[in-house]
Amino acid sequence: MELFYSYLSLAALAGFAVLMARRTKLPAPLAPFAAVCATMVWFSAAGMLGVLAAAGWLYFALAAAAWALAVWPAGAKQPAAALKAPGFAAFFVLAAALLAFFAWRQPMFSTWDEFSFWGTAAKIVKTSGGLYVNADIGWAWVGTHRPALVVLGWFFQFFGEYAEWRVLAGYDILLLSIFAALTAGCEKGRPRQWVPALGFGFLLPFVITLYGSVARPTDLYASALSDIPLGLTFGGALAAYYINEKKALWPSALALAALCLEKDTGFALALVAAGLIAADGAFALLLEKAPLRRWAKPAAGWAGLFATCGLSFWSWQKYLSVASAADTTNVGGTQQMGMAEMVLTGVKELLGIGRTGKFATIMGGLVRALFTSQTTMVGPFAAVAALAVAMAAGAAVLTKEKALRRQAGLFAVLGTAGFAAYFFFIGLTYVYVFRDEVSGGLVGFERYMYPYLLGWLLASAALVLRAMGSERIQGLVQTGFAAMTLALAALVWLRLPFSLTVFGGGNAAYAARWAARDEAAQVQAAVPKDAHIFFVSQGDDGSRWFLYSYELYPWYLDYSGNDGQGGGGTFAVPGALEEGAPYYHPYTAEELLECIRGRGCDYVFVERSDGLFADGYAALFSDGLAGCETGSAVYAWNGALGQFDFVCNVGAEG
Amino acid sequence: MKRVFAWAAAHLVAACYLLALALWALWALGNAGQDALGFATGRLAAGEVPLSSLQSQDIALTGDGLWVTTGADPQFVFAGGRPVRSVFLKTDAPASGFEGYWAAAGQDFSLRRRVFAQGVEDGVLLVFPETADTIRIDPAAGAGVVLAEGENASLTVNAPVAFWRYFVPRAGQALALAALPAAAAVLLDLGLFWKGRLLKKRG
Repeated sequence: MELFYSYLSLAALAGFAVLMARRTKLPAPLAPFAAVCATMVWFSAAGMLGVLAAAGWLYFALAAAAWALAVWPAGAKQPAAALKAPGFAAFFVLAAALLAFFAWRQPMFSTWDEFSFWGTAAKIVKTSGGLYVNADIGWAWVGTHRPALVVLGWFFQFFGEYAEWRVLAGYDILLLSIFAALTAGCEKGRPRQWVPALGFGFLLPFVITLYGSVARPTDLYASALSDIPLGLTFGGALAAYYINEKKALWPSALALAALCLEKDTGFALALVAAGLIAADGAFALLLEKAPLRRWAKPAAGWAGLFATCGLSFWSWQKYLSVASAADTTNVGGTQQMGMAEMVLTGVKELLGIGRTGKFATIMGGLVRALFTSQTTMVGPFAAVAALAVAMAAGAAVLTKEKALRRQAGLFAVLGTAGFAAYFFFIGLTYVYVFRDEVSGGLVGFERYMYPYLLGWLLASAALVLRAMGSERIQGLVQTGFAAMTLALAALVWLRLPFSLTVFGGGNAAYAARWAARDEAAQVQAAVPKDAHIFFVSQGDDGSRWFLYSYELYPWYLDYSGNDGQGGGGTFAVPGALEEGAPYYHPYTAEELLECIRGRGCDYVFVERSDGLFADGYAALFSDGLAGCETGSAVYAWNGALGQFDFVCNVGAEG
Repeated sequence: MKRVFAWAAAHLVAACYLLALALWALWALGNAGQDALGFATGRLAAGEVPLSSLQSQDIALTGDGLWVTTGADPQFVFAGGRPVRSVFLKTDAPASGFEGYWAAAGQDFSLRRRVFAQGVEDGVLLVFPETADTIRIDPAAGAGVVLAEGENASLTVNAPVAFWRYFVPRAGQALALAALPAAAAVLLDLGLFWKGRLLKKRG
């Protein structure tokens, strides 16, 4: 039934896509991407205005109207035959197949960040019917991340029950729409062009974000994190511009608006994209020696792009400043600077004015990593950059069309400049924002580079695909691109055993998640909905606390500790463990009781007990913690006794 | 026939997928037929293999007669020297924990030759895509899972597989069914394109 409800969302989306393909001059394969971006922007705006549910009903009503208008023949700008573009049809076939597969496979969240934010936010939005910024969820909740992807996941479960696979499918459908957009330059009835276009897009995340021989399950295409959608939306905004010979700006504007609402760093990427598009248009006018009056309209368009980015980015800042108490201007970190100050200081240091040792070490390390770290399937990042430049340059050389040659050549240069700027910016965050243990080891460096590289390659591919319509040596570009895509497919197949992906994996990957969910459901059954629950999981590094916060929501799992000393960890009396042991909460029995009661918790959920816990705190429990010996247990406060009473065991053994 | 070819040339992708489905059905029928033949000739035979006769790791028989996993990587290895197509174990343990690997004699086990179990009425069933001499069963991902009861508990090898199961592709086969027809369509289309182009040049 949930599958059917998700199909309703897809059908509504299709209504807008069909409408765009019939009533505007947009090439049909670009329409799904434009529709998905519009959907993200629409629901983000509605969320900020606090009218999410109403906007949902309105969306579906408008979708019905869109279908009616799209089918109505009078006044259509494109014939119904425009919809027969293979990429357009392929998008809906693949999206429907993906939803059906996910409904059967039921993929789940698997990483820390999905429990600490992305997944939990999705659940909060579905459960509460509003955004998540001020959600009542423990103490460590940082709800200031942007909403576009979260509300997209929500849109695919507007009807029906919350399910993780529906969130994950929403992310994938965004990606599919971007891959479909790549086919906009392909001629009809030419599978040698559009099949590799789709395949190239689909393979990109594997090629760029995995390396070596993969031996652990990967969550690609089953992830609610933002990096990959961010990069591909960035690339999609550029591809939508380059691949459309009419150079319409509005699809890219929609994409950039969505991009700025996906994540903070999306703003930087969006500015790069808007700059590339404006430079492309300006360069064309310069070469044509266009008179000044012909500049007015295009220049207004470019200004519009920048204004869209700015407005979209600012809207969330404004919303936060109204809705949340968190400080939003500071980029945080070790130096406590604002964004502009950070860039200025960085540029000064780059030029040698007051350069610090830290700056030189970190920047030098980053540049070395660029050339030496095996970070993608095709080699270090420098190899990927070379591939992107080669693709754009190849398109420039091998096309007969003058305008395209100029566009592709310029992109080969400016894409690289954009990369340098982005790289520098990421470097600055390592110098000025991250803690020393992170910046010293360049922790997570790859993850920050992926978005730009993904988008860069995607945009380069768009230029190559457009060059197929005007090849200098007929057949060369088409054959070359198909061969490259087949080679990438072979590479992925060799490096990544299929059973490690969500498409070929078994249930085992989610067995632990299902067990935790069953356990959480039993806790929910044993505890009233408005009660606060204190969490004990000895040896936890915080991940189980996040996991159970997510699973138990809307039940309230307490931060379970004093400020800075909660959110999972090991409770033991002072001195029982070495000082400075990780996640060690040294409490005496009285302190622990005071902490639990002081935070208003009437229930204690002992997910994992151990000797340390039993030794230190058995006296707080009327059964002396005997109930935990066989497994996880729930305890309830007994005011008369001044102790916690055993309620029940939960979990597989309970 | 001519019209079929004309349609196929105009709808290369659809034609390739239809062809792949037809080939898959033939392949499944062939497998079912081969197994039926194997049972008829005695090459394949259903049989009980006591758990105690298997090589095992991280699995122990407790004093109460329970087979319990005791470590992080429990496994049974069956190298019985006879061809195995399917394995059934009567168990209450979740099928999601079970994985099977198959190998030819002397071959290492690999992530690429792995199947996931299906839960059936009172146990789990592993069906291999080809008959194999050596199989490994990983019944759970950790310690403390009760796999079977009784000292004489056993695996059933080569329990007859329902006819329809032959038509359900294993993960790797599903990947081939999804990707190969598209690749074939691309190659065919490229071939047709170059053929047309080179012929035109010569003419």
